[in-house]
Amino acid sequence: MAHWPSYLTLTDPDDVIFAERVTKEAERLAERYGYLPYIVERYLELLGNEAEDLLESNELPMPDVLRCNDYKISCSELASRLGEMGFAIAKVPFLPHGYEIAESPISPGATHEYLKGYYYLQDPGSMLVGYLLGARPGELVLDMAAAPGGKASQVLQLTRDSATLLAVEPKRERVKALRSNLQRLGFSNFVIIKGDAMNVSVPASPDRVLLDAPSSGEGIIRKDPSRKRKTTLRDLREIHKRQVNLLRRALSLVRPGGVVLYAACSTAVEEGEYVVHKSLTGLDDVKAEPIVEFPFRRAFEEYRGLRFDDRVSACGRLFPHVHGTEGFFVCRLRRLG
Amino acid sequence: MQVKAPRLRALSDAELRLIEEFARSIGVKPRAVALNPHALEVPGGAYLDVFDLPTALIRVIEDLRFVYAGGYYVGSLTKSKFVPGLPLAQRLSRLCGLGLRCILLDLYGAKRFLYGERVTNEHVVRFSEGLAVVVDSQGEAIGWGIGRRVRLKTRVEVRVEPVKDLGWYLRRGG
Repeated sequence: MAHWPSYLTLTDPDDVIFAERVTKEAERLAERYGYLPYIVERYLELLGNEAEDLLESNELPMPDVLRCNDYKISCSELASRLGEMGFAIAKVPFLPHGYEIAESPISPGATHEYLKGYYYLQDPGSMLVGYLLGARPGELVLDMAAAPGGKASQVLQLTRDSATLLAVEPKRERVKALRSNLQRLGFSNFVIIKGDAMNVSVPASPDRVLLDAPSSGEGIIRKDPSRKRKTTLRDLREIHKRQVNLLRRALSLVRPGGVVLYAACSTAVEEGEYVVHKSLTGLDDVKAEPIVEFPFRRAFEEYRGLRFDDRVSACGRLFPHVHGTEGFFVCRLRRLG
Repeated sequence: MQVKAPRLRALSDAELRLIEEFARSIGVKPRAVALNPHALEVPGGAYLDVFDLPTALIRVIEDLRFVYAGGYYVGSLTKSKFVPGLPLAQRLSRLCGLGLRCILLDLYGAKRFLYGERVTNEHVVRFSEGLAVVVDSQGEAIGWGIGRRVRLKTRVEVRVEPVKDLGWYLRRGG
């Protein structure tokens, strides 16, 4: 086990959390699997013997998964149509609208059914997060980083287009994709705001805020292996700062009694537990709700000698080697009324 | 300095008339196109995107700025006409056979149409002249097309020219 200096002697815990320290074992595995060594070092520190299982799982390509859009078509009708076209699909047990595509005669994004908005291609972890927000008809929902629209459209689908969705996205190309997807899927109860969620003004305090934070994407290495080497530790520190700012903003916007769902498509503790820990500092009017809908792994309670806020233990993690999904961190926070 | 930002607003009478003219031209009532049409006003924009806003959204949009889109997209307005959008074809297609101008294509015709190609004769199952909603053999909208009868030397050819088709979602890249 690595030994880290006591926090009592440090002014900034970031200096320890983001310190680059790499053991021989981490170097060896990083070279074998093609990662930046600091990532593997973190896996070894947090997961021990499981670290190599995670690295192995990340070598397996992600299966395509679709979310049947039962706002436009019944899922049985969609399954039947795709079956007739030669697709082999199987229901994903923990996703009410999810189907894994085992075989596809053509690209799943090029069928007439896709163009008609009968389904959306969405990774399973991402879809699971969409359910956890728990949006209800009539609620005002803010999606702070909405493009390309997977979870945003899921909010509207699950509420039969009767939650009012404010979807925020700053980037020009991504905002186009967001609009295109929401239109294709047939929804109407949304406003897309092109802007930075840090500055955007909302007409009323939202009942629910979804923050699927911009991240390193370390959780989707199965889909995009370039993520093994894309984010330097310095980049990660900047991403972390932005995530903290966004989560604090989310907590300041949500109405008393309302829910903030924080998610990051990452296996990095710096983008998960440490973000929630920092964001909750000084906020006594926020509680973390345990996620009981799915057997997530419990979030890490400490890292490099830093014990996180007790509320962090209610958050959850998805791991490729445990759940067969992409890597995700999820935390459901409720502002007390 | 006040930044002029895109915002949604109710349509003017002149703009509403353009939608009424369009609705009449395809055989439906204006309320079938939109109940609460609002235009997205973009400073310096050459046209206006038009959205049908659910009631709950009307309350929300008043103070919102930097709006990129909102509500059900029905089409766009130039100074002289209304150009229908793809979602509107899907919304209206249930009115095929109830006054709405529709063109029905067979499977091969629908495939060609979705590639943005002209469809002729034997692949046109039911024909209508002028701008019409185009539906496939399942009766589901796949876009807007213009039906034309063209007199050739020995025969009359029926043609359906794509105006907007769902394949656009692919061709624009997502």
